[in-house]
Parts: sequence; structure tokens; C-alpha cells
Amino acid sequence: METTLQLVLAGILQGGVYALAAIGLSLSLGLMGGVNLTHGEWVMLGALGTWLLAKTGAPLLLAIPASCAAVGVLAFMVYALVIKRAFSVPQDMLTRTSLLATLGLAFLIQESAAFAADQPLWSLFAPGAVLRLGPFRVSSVRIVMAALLALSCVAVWIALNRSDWGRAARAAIADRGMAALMGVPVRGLQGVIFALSSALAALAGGFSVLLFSAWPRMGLPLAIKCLFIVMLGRAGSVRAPIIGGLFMGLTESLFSALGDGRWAGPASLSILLIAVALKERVARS
Amino acid sequence: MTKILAVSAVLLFLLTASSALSAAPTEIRIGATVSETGKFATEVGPFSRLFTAWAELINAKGGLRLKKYGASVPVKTIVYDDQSQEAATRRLYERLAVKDRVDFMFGPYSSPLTFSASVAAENRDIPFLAICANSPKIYSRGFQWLACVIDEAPRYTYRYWEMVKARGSDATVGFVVEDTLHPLGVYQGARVLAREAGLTEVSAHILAPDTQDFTPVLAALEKAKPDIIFVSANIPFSIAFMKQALEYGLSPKEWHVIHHSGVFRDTLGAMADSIVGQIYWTPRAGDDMSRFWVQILERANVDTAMYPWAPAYLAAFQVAQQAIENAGSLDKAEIMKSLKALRTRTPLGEAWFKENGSGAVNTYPAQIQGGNYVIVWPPEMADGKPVYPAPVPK
Repeated sequence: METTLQLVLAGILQGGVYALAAIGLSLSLGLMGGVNLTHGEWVMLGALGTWLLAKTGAPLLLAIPASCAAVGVLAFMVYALVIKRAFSVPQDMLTRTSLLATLGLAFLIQESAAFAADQPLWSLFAPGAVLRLGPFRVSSVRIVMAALLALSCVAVWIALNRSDWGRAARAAIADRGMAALMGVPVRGLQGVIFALSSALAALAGGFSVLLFSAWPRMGLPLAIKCLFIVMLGRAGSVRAPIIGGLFMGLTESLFSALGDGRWAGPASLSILLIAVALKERVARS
Repeated sequence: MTKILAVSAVLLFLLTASSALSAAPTEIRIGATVSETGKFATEVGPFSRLFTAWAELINAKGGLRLKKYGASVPVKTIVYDDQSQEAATRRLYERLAVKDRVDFMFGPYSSPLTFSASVAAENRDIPFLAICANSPKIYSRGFQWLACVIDEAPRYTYRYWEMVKARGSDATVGFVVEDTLHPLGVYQGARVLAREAGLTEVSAHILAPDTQDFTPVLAALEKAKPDIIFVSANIPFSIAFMKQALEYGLSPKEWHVIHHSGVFRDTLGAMADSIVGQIYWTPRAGDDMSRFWVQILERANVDTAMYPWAPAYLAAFQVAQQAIENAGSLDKAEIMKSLKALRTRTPLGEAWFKENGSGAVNTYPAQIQGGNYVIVWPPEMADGKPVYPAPVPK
């Protein structure tokens, strides 16, 4: 029983990282359409930035947000230089153009990070007190991280639902044309949402480097996982990535207890795909 | 008549000498790959610099002496990035053999890559000296053109178990093993050596290389409470496991992590203190060869604390140099024969080769103490005494 509880906690933490990364992707896909394969690279850059800052002695609670902010600014510049143009093509060419442009960018970011970092594996360790509740034990650092992950998801939800800016963004996600007619600056919002979604991904990267490890080529597989998670709901939704991310983290963690854990990732992805297929079927019927 | 004979003899001598000299090669082409990127880059990323530094220092003395040509011939190293991938490694060693036409090959890092790479050398009759690749699988194929500097994986930690036996304070051991060739080979040997040292194996978990969640294993280890937890894994796996194990609060009498390199130490910080692992050498004042090694390391800017496998490469350079010079020519069969027959003293101990090609150089147990690596056994090689039992982290 206690092992199962430990697995659930580990799954929630892993799922929280997925959820945070997937919320960002959901928002950028919702507002911009097309396919964004750079998303995993922002996670990777967030991890790298956090790791580099922590190495210089910066406290983690400063390193993570500073890294997010830096990634957000960089993402906005990338948007202005490349993404805006790649996503401004006619609708029938959007998928192909966005796929090619973001895939190329993803490789460029990956290789640049591999070149710039003097180590090929980045991992941080924050030792904390171990809390024991009977047979159940958990590191205080993990509890803080779980709380911060939850807080980040709630903050995004509040920003989107309670602020004028968030309402405008949601309107544009629901119908870009109508929102533009109502005076919402859709183009400007796209850049801001792209930067914000990348910063959220970087936040996930910051947590990821603490909980697990990070490396230059971790981005693309993660971007694909996030795409599957987003597909569970509609693009632009915040709830679906949270549910999908937690589901994925939990199933991966629980499956890791079976055998040597080799099938944990593929098994949870398969279940998620079945869920997506069922959802599509229900929606059609 | 005597005059004619003398002139003919001189002419014949000049002709032979000149033909011999003209046959002298302009360079000795030595090929290798290094995992500059990918999962093994944490272990050997900057090692192409070691190859370059070695060649530069050798060439500064004129190169390697080849008796057959009566000359010293400079060394040219050709090193590619194998991206830590088997397919890329196989392709690159084919290229080294066919396009670059190398005279001698050094193996890539790790057993899986060497398993693939050595096929290219075997198919084309090129001497192949493996370095950090000691899975018995590699040496059970009957290859004739393959030799390895280091001992086979099952004996990788034998000195550690000698120390444990001499200490006589431990009764149980729990194993955590990454399911890849080298860690599996080390584990298979370690469980036998542990038994011989009088320990009982209370748990063994063989896990996929990309495992991120170790909760079930940690819970099982907590129940089994072994005196020694022995982690046989590559660095990324070891870091991921140890982070969670320390967060979980496991505190055996001793941690043994076979690969506890600088990346590992830096990630865990003070919590890495007192963890035991295996290393080949700590730079020390010694004979001429030790000084030459230090020169190579300094020129290549490679720190053995960050990359503890560097000395195995240096031993390989020494062995290759002596094998080629003993062969006295670039005849590949001669070089291979000379390599297999070689018995030489290196700063790591005596190097020689068994019938199947595997070598004799092995690691020493070292403990991280105050952020430094301290060889703790055997007494004649030890830099210091082991801290035992490991203090419980606060």
C-alpha cells in the first residue's frame, strides 16, 4: 500500500511537469493553429538556464523564474523573426509550413544548446528533510515542488479567466476572426501567448532538472508527448492538459513498478492515444 | 674485377637503402570515435582532445620509431563523433577502414558501441584496441583482430570486494543494475565476488536504462536494509537513482556506485561524500610515463576527476605505441601479433592480453572525500583510508 502511495506521489510530480509544459503548448496551438515542435526545446532551455544559474550559486527560487523570463524573451524574438512569418501562410499550407519551420528551429536550438553547454547532462539536487508519516515517506523538497507546480497551473488558469487580457486571449482562441472584428489585437496577442507558453515550458524544464535530469536532445520526444496530451481536449484548453499530464505521469509511475519499467512510457502513451481516439469518436457521434 | 665488385656492392646497397627509405610511410594513420554527443558524452565528451594531445606530443619527438624503414614516422589521428549510437559507430568505423585507410584503430567508449565497431576491424584485418569496453560478450566471438586494455567486466570491482572481505563488517548487499552490457557484466561478476567475500545478496533490481522513477526499488531496499547498496550503472542512470534514493532517506553502511564521475559528484554536491566507486588512477608523481600522462592530460585540458576513464585511454596509447614500435612496421598482422604478445608496465599496473583479447588493467575502489577522489584499496595504491560506515546525511 505504501509503495502505491509513493508511486502516486511520484506520478503526480511527473504529471505536473507534463501538465505545465502541455498547458503552454495548448495555448500556443489554440491561438496560432499549425504545429509547434519547438515547444520541447523551451523546456530544455528552461532546464539549461536553471542549471547554469544554479551553478553560479543563484538560489533555486530565483534561478527557475529568471530562466523562465529569459526563455520567454528569447521565444518572443524567435516569434518575431521566424514563427510569425511561418504561421502567416494560407490555411491550406499552415500545417506543412509550421511543421517544417518549427522542426528546423527545434534542431537549431538543440544543437546550439549542446554546443553552448559544457556538460551534456544537467541535473540539480536539492537535499531536504525527509518527512515520515508511518510507512510513507517523502522529501520536503518534493512537497514544495508539487505545491509550486499546482500553484503555477492555478496562476495560469486565473490569468486566463479573471484578467481582461486573458479573456481577450480566450476569445481569440475560440474564434480569431470574430475576436479581431471585436477589436482584439490578435497578432500582438499571438506573440505574447507564444512567449508565455514558452516561459511555461521553461518552468516545466526548471522543475524537471530538479526532479530528474535534462539534456540537449530531450525536447522533441517531450514535444510529441505534449501534443498527445493536448489532443485529449481542444487546443487552447487549460483543463485538458492538466488532466492529460497528470494521467500520463500517474500511469508512467504505476507502470514503472511492473517488470523493469521499460514499458512504462509506451504503455501510458498507448492508453492516452486510446483515450484520444475514444474522445474523437464520442465527439463525432 | 675487385673494383667492379666493390662498385656493384655499393650500388646494390644504395639501391636497397633508397628503396627501403622510399617505402617509409609518411604517417601512421590511427582512427577512433569518441562520444562527443549523446548519452556517453558525460563520460568521455572531450576525449578527442586526448587523442590530439597524445599525437602532438609523440610527433614533437619525431613520431613512432619503425625499424623496418629506419625512421620515425609521425602519427595522424582521425577521430569522429559517434553520437553514442551503435549505428553511427558502425558506419564511422567502416569509413575509417575503407575511406581513411587507417593502420590501427582505438575502440569507442562502452561495450555496446565496441561490440558494433570491432566488426569493421575484424572484417578488414585491422588491429583494433578496445579501451573502455569490457563486456565478456565482446570477447567471446573469437575475433582475431581485437584486443582490449582493460580486464573483463565481471572482475571490474574485484579489488572493492577484497576490501570488503578484509574489513569483515558487512553481511548483506542489495544490487541496482542498469540493463545495459557493461553494468550487467559488472553485476554478474560482483554478485559472485560478494558471495566469495561472505555477503548475502538480499535484493537485485535490473532496470531499463531510461528509468526515471525508482520508487518501487527504493521501497524494496528500505525493507531489505542491505549493508551495502551497489549501483551498477552508467552516469545518467546513477545520478537519477541516487537523487531519489537520497531524497527518500536511504542510508546503508556504504554506497557503491561503479561510475561516480565528476558530473555525478558535482550534481550531488556534499551528498556525494563517502560514496565509493571505481577509478583507474589519480594523477601522481611517478615514473617517466606518469609524467608523460600528466603532460597529455594538461595539454588536452582533461581533468581525471571529471572524467575518470581518461587514464584507461592513456594506457591504451602507451600499449598501442609500444605494440607498433615493437612490430617495427605498418604490417597489420605484425602489429596485431606484437600487440597480443605485449607485456608492459603502465602507471595503472601491468598490461597484457588473454587468449580471447581481453586485457588485465583494472580499477581501484575510490571514495569521494571532501569532493576529492581518494583511492582506498589496496594499501600499496591507497591515497587515504575509507570513511566507513558512511555518515547518515543530515
